[in-house]
Amino acid sequence: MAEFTEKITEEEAIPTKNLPEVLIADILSRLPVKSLLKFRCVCKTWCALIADPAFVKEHLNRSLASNSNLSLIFRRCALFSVDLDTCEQRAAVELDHPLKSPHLATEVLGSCNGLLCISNSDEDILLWNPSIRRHHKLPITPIEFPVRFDSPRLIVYGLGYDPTTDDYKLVRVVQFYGDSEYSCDSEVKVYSLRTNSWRRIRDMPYHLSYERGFGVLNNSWRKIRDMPYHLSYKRGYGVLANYALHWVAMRETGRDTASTFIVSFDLQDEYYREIPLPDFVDDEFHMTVGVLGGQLCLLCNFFRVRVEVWVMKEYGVRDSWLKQFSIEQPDVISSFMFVRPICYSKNGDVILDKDSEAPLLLYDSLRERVRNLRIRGAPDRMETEICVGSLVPLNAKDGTEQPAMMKKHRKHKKRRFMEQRAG
Amino acid sequence: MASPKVIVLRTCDGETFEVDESVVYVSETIKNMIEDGCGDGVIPLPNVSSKIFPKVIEYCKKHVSDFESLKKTSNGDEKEKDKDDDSSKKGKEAVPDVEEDAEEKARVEELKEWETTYMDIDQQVLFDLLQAANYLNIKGLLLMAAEKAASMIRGKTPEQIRETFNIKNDFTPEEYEEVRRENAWAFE
Repeated sequence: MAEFTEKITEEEAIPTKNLPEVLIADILSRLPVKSLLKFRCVCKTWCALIADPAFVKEHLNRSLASNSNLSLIFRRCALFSVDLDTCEQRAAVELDHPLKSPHLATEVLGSCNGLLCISNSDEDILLWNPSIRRHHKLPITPIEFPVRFDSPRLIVYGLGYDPTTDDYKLVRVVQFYGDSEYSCDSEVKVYSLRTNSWRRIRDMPYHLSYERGFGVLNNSWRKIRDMPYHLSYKRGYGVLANYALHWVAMRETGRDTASTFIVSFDLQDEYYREIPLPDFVDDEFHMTVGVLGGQLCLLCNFFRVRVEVWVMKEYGVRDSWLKQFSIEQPDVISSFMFVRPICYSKNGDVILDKDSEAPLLLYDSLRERVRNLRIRGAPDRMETEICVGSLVPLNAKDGTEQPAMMKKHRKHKKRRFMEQRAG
Repeated sequence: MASPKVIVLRTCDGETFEVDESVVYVSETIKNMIEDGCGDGVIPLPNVSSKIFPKVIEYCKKHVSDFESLKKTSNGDEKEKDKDDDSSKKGKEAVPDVEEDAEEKARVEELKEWETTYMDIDQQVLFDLLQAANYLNIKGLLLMAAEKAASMIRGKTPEQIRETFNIKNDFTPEEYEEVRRENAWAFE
């Protein structure tokens, strides 16, 4: 841009003295968010550039394509994080987030483009960007489906991005006990960040299958304090791949048999579809769906102590399923243990989450073996999520808007805020 | 083609260089100019100095063989070069031929070493290189230089950045205070 060259001093106007803005933007798009936030103070042009939606997108896409700027987020009531690239060298640190409270456990309902969806209850859900410390509180939405005497069987969420409307969406699926074991009475609602509103959409005609700790809530949908509330959601949140959310579902195939499959919810057209599975030879396994490097994957935990990871190389194409690797180490993974793939590490190894227990697992692709991956400072029992560092904006600043129940916390924050101003 | 064609180029300060056509073809800009029929005369490069041009040619010479195979396939996009782990991370294909793999690994290693030496340059040369690579449209060189520039400025303070890029602080004191305060934790 012309403004830049005008800043040249009286010395000879060497064309190479000042870089054009397009090159500055290219260089800046390769930096971590923390550096960029500092560089907002350089000058007005840089400040505007770093906030520009096109730049934010370029920065995000570059991070995703190069598997960089990633953090592991650990959750056990409180939230912790560590940079992916240095997770074995550095310790995890506790995150100071807008829902932090000594009495409530915070869940992570989803992670997308640097936004985490966190909640302390169904009424207290936030979208939060930990890299820029901004959040947005979602409005509450009731469960409209006639609440019968029984509580819902499960409530699961999924967070994703719709590129056609450049919008972030949170999907909530509520499923009820029905007349048969695999009935699928459900209510599905979608929240849109753009319109800041919920809307009910067509029901999900599939029975979602999540075997551990279904959340049981009383009829007024308030969280019961000592319930193992966190267990149900963690197993059930939608896996994001190819702008769609995925869950494992089951259907009856005979009198006492059922088959497992993957259901997808397309964030763009809001249709449900089934994802074709590979031809398994032996189907005595427990299946988890996950995502690795943006590709949908399956983790099959076999009865005879073997874990296979399959990756769908071309989304939706049945023949593109590839068995990426197989682990048979009973000392590390016992049969039917709940194992979930988290992400690729810097050098192509695979990080896996083991039944919500620490340590994590690292599949060494060179040695073709899995080993424990201990993270210092992380809790003993925890759920793991991956989060990219991004500049994706949300409106409320952390530390200024606090919900009423956190008055004590707010006072503390205000004091710190004032101190910073003076100093 | 029998003998390699030699192209004559003139930098902005009047010096001329004679370079093999296959070497300058690594620059998309020059390639387009040649294809438009300018290859027989002297090609002017108004935005490139004689100081930096040899450095650029050094890169092009090293990457001619890369380019030869690239010419056959479609134009590569903004993706990182294959020296990065990116492609292997995205989806490991079924086990490749072991011999081919070892050869490939050695080639990649050698290229990495060459690039480290090549990029051992000071800031002014780096900026000149960035501008030249941008004007001459040499994607691989631009990428390498941009990465180097990014790693160089990553830990700097705003004051140091202004010095590096010769930028004036145009915030009012109040504006500066506000921006600084909003992002205070980034300075910790």
